[in-house]
Amino acid sequence: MTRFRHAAGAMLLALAFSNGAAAASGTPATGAELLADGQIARAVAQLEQALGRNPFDPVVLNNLAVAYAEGGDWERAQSLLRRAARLAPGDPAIEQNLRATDQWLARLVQAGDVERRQRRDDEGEPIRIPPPPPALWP
Amino acid sequence: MKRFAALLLCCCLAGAWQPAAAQDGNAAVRQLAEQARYWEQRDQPGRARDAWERVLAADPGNEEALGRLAALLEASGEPEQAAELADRLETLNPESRWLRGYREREAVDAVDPDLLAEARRLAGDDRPEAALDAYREAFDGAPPSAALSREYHEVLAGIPDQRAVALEQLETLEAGNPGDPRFTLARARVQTYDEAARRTGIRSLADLYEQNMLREQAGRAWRQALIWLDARTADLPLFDRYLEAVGRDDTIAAKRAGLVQQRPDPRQAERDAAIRAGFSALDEGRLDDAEQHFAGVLENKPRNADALGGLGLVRLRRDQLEPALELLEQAMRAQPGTASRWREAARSARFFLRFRSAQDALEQDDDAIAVQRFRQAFAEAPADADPTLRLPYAEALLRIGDVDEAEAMARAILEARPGNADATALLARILIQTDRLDEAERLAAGGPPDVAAAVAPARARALRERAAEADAAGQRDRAQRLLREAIALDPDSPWPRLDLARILRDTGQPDAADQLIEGLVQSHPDLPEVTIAQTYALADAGRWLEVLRTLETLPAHARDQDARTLQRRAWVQYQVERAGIARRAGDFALAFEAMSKADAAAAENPEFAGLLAGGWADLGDPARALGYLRRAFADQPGSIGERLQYAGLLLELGQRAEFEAQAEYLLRQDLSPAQSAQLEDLVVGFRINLADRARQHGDLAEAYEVMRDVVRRRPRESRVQMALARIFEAAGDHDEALAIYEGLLTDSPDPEPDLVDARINALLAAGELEAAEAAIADARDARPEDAALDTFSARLAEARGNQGRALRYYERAADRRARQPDGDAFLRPPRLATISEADSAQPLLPRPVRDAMEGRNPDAPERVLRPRPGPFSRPVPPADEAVDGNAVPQSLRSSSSLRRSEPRPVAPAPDDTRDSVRLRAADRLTRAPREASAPSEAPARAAISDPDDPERSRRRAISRLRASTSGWAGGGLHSRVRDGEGGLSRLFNIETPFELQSSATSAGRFGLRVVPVIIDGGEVEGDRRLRFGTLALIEGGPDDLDLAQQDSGIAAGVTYQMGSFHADIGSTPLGFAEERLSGGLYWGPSFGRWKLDLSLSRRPVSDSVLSYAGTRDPLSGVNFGAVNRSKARVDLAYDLDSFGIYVNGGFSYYDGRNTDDNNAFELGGGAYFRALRARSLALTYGINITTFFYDKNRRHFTLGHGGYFSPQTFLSVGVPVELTGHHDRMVWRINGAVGLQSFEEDGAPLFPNNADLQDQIEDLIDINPDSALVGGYASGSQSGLGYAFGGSLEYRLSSRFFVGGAIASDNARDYTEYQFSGFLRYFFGEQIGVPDAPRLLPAYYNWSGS
Repeated sequence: MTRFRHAAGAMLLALAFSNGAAAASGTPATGAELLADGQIARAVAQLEQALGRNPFDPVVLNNLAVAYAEGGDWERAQSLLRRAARLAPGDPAIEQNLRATDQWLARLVQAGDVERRQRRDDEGEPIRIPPPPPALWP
Repeated sequence: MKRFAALLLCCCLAGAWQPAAAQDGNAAVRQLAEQARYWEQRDQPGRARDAWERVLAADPGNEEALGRLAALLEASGEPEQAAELADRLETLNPESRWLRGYREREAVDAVDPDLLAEARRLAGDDRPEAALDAYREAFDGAPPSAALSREYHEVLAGIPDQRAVALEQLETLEAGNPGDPRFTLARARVQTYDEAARRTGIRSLADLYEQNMLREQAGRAWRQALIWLDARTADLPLFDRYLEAVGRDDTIAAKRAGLVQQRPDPRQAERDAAIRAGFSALDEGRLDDAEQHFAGVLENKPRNADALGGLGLVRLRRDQLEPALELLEQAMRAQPGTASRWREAARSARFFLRFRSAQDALEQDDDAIAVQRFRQAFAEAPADADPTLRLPYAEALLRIGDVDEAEAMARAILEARPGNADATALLARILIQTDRLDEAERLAAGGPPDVAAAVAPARARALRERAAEADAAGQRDRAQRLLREAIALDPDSPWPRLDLARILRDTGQPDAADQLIEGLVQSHPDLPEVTIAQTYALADAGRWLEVLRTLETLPAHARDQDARTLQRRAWVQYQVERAGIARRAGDFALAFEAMSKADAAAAENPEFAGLLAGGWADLGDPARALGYLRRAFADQPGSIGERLQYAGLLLELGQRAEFEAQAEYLLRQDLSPAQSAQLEDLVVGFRINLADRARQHGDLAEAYEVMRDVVRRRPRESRVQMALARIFEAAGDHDEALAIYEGLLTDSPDPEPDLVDARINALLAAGELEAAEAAIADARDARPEDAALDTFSARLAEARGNQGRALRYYERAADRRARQPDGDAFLRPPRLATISEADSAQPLLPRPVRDAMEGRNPDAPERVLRPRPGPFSRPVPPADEAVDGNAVPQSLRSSSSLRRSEPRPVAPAPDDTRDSVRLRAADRLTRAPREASAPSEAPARAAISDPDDPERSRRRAISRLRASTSGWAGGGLHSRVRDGEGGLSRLFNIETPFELQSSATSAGRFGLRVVPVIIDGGEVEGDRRLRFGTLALIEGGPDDLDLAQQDSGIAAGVTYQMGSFHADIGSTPLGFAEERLSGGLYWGPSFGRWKLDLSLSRRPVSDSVLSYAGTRDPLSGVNFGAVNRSKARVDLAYDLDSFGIYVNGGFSYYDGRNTDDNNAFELGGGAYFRALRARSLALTYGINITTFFYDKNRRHFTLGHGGYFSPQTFLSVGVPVELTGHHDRMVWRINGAVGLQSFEEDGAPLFPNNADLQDQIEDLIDINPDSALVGGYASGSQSGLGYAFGGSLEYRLSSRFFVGGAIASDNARDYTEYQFSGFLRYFFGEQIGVPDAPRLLPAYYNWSGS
């Protein structure tokens, strides 16, 4: 019995150490975790890499879409979500995301229409949008 | 003295003996003199003295002997004897050179022995410079004697630079003292110091040694010279001579052995020749030739030290330090014995290598490393290194902050090289850096022009700092002056220009500011510092894209931390600016993208909080903007500008308490005039907000109080006026509100939509529907897609009773609102949900593959996507959905009180033409123009218009209108019992109406009614038969005559309703004795508070079986009765909310089958008061006056009469009271009335429309005057108290099913009627809550067509 106890104790100790080692080794954060942490650029990089490994993963497509949406690139997010929806039809999260994105883009377009119309009424001259800036330095 | 006596004796003897032995004597004297010199040269003065004394003895006039002996006596401390001999010599020959030696000896004796001893000690310590100084001090001029001069120059030869001079002097001395071996020894010893003359020196030393002169000293010097000698095989004789003369000497022997081994062979000779040629070429500067010679030797002898060293020197001359050092070190390793030849060169190479490495580090701004390398380099600097080489070292020290050491070094350089420009400039900079500007300027003033130029930038920097202090102190003019001075001092520095440009820009001179910078940029387009300054200037001007583009021109090495910080700032600024432009251009997607990127680039830096907050607020997301500022304030207090921005956002988001706190804080701050104005604007907005809130809670006094100060301070401000107008509107003073709005419109040629909308709202609330319609039409020209105008149109339609159109407008408004942006909620982007990526570890398959696999494997998973349980297993709900999820359902939202500005539902009043009751108790109360409503059209109690939340108001209106315009089907049961004479005026009536109503559309509402009717009046019995039909002519007829008065039928009809217009047509119950058409038209327009009801109708009179259904006269066999009333009536009411007044008037025409026609006028009026209007209870009472006047009294039942109450005069004055309330799903009403009524009836013939029958009956009476027959009916009048009461309720079974019932009773002196009814109604659309009052399903007898 004593021997059994010792063996069990040793196993537990080994497990404890193995868990500790795993924790210490630091599993890389997933794209979703990076997004939850607000690290958008890192999340995009990691998810793009994951998508390169498997272009048919709807989860990665969805999460990448979320990352792009967080960065304001809703059109790219919409394209990714459509692909995700085709790969995983019926998934509620993807469908909901795609629906929200579609509605949001439609609203933006409508808001833009209203703004343009009002501006046309007010001033009659179209506004030229300035070009994108040079790349942000690291 | 004894010696002197002996000397004299010798002299005397010599003098006496001279003539005899003159020739032999001369030889002996010479020999003695030789001996004397010999001893003197061997530094044995005693023996030398004896010899000289003997010479004098032999030759008293021997000048040499006199002079040498005098010198020896002087040296031995016998000056008197010495002087005596010197005097003798002077007497003999004043110019004797031996006399000079004595004189020198005297001078030597005058030298301070201590100083001389010190000089010799220093010389012995190998400190030649100090020793020479000591010698010069001891001599106080030139060395006083040849011996001391020899000694002095021998010491001087210890200094390499002075060696040639010393050797020259020694050679002169040797020549001046021939035969004195000491001078020869000195000269030879000095010659051995230099390699070139060493062999000569060696030979002289060998001679001295072999001549046994100063042998010991000469031997030591000889040996040392041989050791020093860079011996070649040709020098072997020198070594052989030494070993032969001295004997065994291992060292010298070993060196000789080495030479023997190097005995030249022919090839060695060639190599030696080549090496010599190489060195010659090197000396003459022909480096290529030298390299060729040395390289040639090394081809055969790679380790030849001379060739290696020579080649190293060539490399050194060519400034190829590293290979030079390597070669020189190889040379030293190859022949350690000759290593010293190369050591100095190697030291120089190593020094310059380290020096250059330090310089490289300095150029790369690795200052600490540079200092370290300089320190290493100068630790082993060549002795003849130029002191100015230490300048970069000092510069590096300065850079790392070791100012003291840098300054000491600069001063040391200046001391070594007085006037050195670089050292002066460096020292000047150090002085400036340590705030010793004055000293620096003195230094520069006394230095060369380039030093002054070097000081100028530092001076400019100092001026710039002073200018910054002046600017901070508000002394802008002084700051400008100082900066202009700085620019003049350092015109190429961009920084004073940038500072001045900033001041110019701040003082409204942007062009001058730009020119200041552009001038420098044009002259130094490639200077990174200028580019950086230019970008700062562009940033000051807010030209962010130019900032970014200019920064792109910076080379990579110039992109330091400051440049990167500026690039990020400009990048964020530009993206926010771009987002704003994109939004105005209508590209919201781009605007959001730009803002999101700016957001990411800002990385929660509080510096950008205000900027991002402004950007998001501009983009319609003030909540996010507020969040930014809150986060920023958590880290730092925030500027006044940011606080004002924050307060503005708080106000916009309705966070009043926090706004108040912020405003209080800001009021305590020291604000600029502009900031004060901005804060007051916000406070005005806050006051308006408070006033609106108080108004919404019905506290108009508070609202007005809040606005009082604001109105006084800003009486002409539109938003203030509008807020005031809203208060007036809430108080019901629509005219005042309208006056304000119209005044504002007059002042504003291009009014804001809010103002136009407010006026339309007021017009609608005031009931000025035509003006409202025109205003809506005008506004629609400018805003054809505006949902608010659709809402106004809906309200207008509803006000006009067209609920179907109203609903359509409301729905269109809702549709537009769904498509149009509206405020922050609309433009807040959704939050998408992430999915856990845990499952993606197993790659998912594309659907076609999965399908194929599923086809083969029935166990294949149904869904590809299967998120693992975990933190992200469930989709994160989007933020807006979460909010929606917590939203209170519309139907459960608490309704606020009705607003004065809301449109009152104006429902058409029922055609109040029921003519049954004599006291019409609560009619008016229940259909007061602004309160009464048709059962199915009563609006819900929820507010239908909320100007402060138009969207919610619109949603409620749509729900309400969908409920009220819903189609419905219903069925009911009505029972009515009227007391009276059986078969005549008694009436029992059961009706079961069924009704189907379509939904109301803009084309109106259509309905179908089917009402089975059963009526029973009892049987005509007894004397009553004499008053029925024509039975009086046969005195009532036989007893078995069936005179039961009952009938039944089914009435059917269709209805139409459009707004306040109603129409219906149908039949009286089919199956009745008489059947006829009935119908009516009704229109009830409103004009503000005025309400007009117009009606035309033709309906059966349901007072009795006779009047309702008609009956058959059993005697004549004809039907009579079935009276129709064709009526025109006008009602006019004026409602003042808490009370109202009304009047009405009408004309009715009565006709029926075989019934005398009749007509009647009616007039009425009254007032009502709403005594209680609680949330679930309302009490209304009033006074009502009713009069009508029938032309004829036709209320009897004989042929020609109609069986309906038709007094010629009727007056009723009653006090009706009504209490309505609701509880949970039930609504109820109790009503009653009490009053006095009086009427008068004329008499009437028995058969009013049949003169023949009347004549017959009168004949019968004449014939039988005692019979009970009468020829007519007497007139009469009656006055008395009347009362009525009733109650009804309706219960909501579900959102579509409603059930209800009612009871009622009218009582007068000879009249009693009871009514009971119940109903069930099903709506096709969902209903909201319960109606304001029970909505009974009318029977046919009281059907009014509406």
